[in-house]
Amino acid sequence: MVPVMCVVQQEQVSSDVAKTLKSAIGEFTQQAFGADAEIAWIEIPAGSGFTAAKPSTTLIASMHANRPLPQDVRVPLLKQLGEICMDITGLSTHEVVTSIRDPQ
Amino acid sequence: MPLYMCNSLKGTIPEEAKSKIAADITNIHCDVTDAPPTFVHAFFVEEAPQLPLNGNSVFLMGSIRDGRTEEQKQTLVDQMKQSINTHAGVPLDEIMMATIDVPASWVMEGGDILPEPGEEEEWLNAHHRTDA
Repeated sequence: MVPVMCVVQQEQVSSDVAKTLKSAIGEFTQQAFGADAEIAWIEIPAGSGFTAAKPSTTLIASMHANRPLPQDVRVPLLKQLGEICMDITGLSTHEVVTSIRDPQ
Repeated sequence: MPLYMCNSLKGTIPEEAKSKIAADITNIHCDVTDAPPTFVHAFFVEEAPQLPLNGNSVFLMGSIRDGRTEEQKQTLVDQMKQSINTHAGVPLDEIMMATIDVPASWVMEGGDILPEPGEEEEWLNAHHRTDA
């Protein structure tokens, strides 16, 4: 399993979009790491998310790879993960943060 | 990044306190590290199992870029705990805080890998960000 933490602003992501995004992240981890995603899905209630001390519209998708990644492998995967998040949610590039960390 | 996730018992942090604590977290982080505010995320949740409270009323977890000194990290902890105490009235001994170092090269924001600490200006210029 690939542990994934996905943090979304509750107002921005409907249950349908959430379902689609979770599925797409699962496909991503299968393709990238040959393993299912174990997703910790955290919804930030309205009025409880801040970026630069202003109401936040940021989505964060963070995961631990199941092997150490050279940077020339990590960067394309980060871009791909970001594009998945943007395509499904309609958020802009400045609203999506992705992180792929080496194994814990 | 940084990402500050604040988990608490239900009702511990009043709604009106959240924006004040978030502003403090942003200011403290920027003062201590010289990072631009635009990078600072502060999110509040209640009784989220992913961020175990372990008997405390509040757990603040800060994922910060690698490269900060131990002194800087201790200052972040001390000042942010004090902010929660001030604005939410939670006793200091009921507030747990930890930081975790994440290499900048492992994080993408705005479509690019985050800059290393101290190299933010060029990154921000490239991204036409004016809110830093």
